[in-house]
Amino acid sequence: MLNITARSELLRTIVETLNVVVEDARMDFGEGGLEVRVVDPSHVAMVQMRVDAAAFDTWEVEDTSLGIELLKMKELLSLASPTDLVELQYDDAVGQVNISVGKIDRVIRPLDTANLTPPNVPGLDLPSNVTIAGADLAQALRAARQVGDLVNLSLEPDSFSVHVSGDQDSVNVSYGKDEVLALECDSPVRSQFSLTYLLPMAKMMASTESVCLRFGENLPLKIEFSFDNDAGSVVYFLAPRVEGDL
Amino acid sequence: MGCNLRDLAESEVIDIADLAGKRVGIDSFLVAFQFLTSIRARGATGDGGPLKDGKGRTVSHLMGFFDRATTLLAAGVIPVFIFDGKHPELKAETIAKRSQSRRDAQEKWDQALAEGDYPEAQKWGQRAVRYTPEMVEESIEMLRLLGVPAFRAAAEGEGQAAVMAANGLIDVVATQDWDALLYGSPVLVRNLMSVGSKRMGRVIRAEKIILADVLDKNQLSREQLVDLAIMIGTDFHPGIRGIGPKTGLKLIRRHLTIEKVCEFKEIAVPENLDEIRELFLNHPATTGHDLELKPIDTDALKAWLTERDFSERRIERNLAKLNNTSQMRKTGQASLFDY
Repeated sequence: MLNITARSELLRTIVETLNVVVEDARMDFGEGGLEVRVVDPSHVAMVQMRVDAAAFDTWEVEDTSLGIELLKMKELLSLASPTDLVELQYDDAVGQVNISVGKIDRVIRPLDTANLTPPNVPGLDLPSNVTIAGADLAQALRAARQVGDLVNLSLEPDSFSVHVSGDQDSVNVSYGKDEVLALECDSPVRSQFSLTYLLPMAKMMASTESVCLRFGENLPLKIEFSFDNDAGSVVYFLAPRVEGDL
Repeated sequence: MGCNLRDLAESEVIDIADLAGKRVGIDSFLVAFQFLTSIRARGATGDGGPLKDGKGRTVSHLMGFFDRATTLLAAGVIPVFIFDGKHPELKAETIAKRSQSRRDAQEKWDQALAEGDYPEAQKWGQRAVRYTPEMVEESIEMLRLLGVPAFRAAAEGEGQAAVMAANGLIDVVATQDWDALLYGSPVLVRNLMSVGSKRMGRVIRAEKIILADVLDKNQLSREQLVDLAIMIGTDFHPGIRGIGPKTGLKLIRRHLTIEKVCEFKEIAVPENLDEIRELFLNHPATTGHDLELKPIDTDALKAWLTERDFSERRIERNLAKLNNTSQMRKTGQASLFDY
């Protein structure tokens, strides 16, 4: 049984954050809130999300897992203004999700959750990290995209930089330790990532005050940020590009 | 089907993801029957039969195995599909009963179709399912094109899988059949693909059962567990009348062997007792199977599937799941599974 109400803005953030990585997601609703863990079909990008029940306007939930086609939610939410309240109901016995936005009642048949098993989170030891404003990160990556598809992120004890070399052109964006919110790095590390994945992620955090990036030498990137006054927390994982044969 | 040991075992709920990197032996006959009964023509005028390609060949089992194998591979599991070989002669009675009920169902199915009663036809069609040796061979052929180990057992599929698990060749046996424990599988996984799906109002989840824990909890040796199962009833013998798991457990704990139990109860020991014990404790198994995943020849696979009228969409959707697994990886993009 599920009966929740939320501002459309909140649901939109949830759906879009997940949609960067997958088309379909299994959402686990519990007493304390919503949890989602999904990986893209080729296992390059993963998102782990948690939203406290407190972020919702009403929350009457018995443990329920729903498989949702994100596009359907997105379409419906596009009809609402940010502060409109959206009601979402689910009854096991009926097996359908009812979503109401104002006068609109939409029924969605949930997906079979058997095909939406949450992935295990990779075990990573990533001691180096930088915390930066979401807008700065998004801008740096947009600049990178103008030159190439693959971006190098590097961290040194006193700076963080985003670098791309194309055939002819190159772009470099560097921040000194005092220009970012926090930086921890004992020895220099560098990894390369695909902007096809990274840029859409960065767009989701463009208006976030602080984003923490953790990475190591040729290791996955772990991006942590929160939304809705910290009621929602997100971790993106992105596998690196590695040179040579794997 | 097998012996119900539910009352003796404690299980732990698991996720497919917990099996990433593990070799999972799959009792494939059982799975094939699930596909053949569930992937069917069910429209208002569906005849209730399995799905067929343009040449009239059944493809339900192939669709099922294709989806199942890719889902497991995408989850990082190394599936090993093991099909029943020759059924032990002791199982003849069980097999004969199953054949008879299938023939009865076939008759009722034909009759319902002749009368145009489609809902009735769908009901009986499901029970008249056949999985022929040719269909088994086809399933194996397709799985091998997917680079996945697949082969026939010497005898029972779950028996062969259990022997391989006991010998450390595979990590887990996935079957609904509790017998896998009797055959000596250290770890049994039931409901492998269920993630909180509902069946008959009960939530079904994948669960793991450890043989050592079952023996420990009930203070039994494996030989005694087998004796207990034989008393309760197995595929090879109907069991001793009036003995269920609870009584059986008490009796075997007190008297230690079936012979002693029968002596105490003043009844005859079950027929063929030693052969049945031998089947459980030393199940025949074929050896020398290659258990490594192989690169996928996508062109050959696509051609094979297209020839059987698999839709482009189904093929692409499944293969997309495998992009970046070690079987398909071509670029320098790493996968999160590598860490």
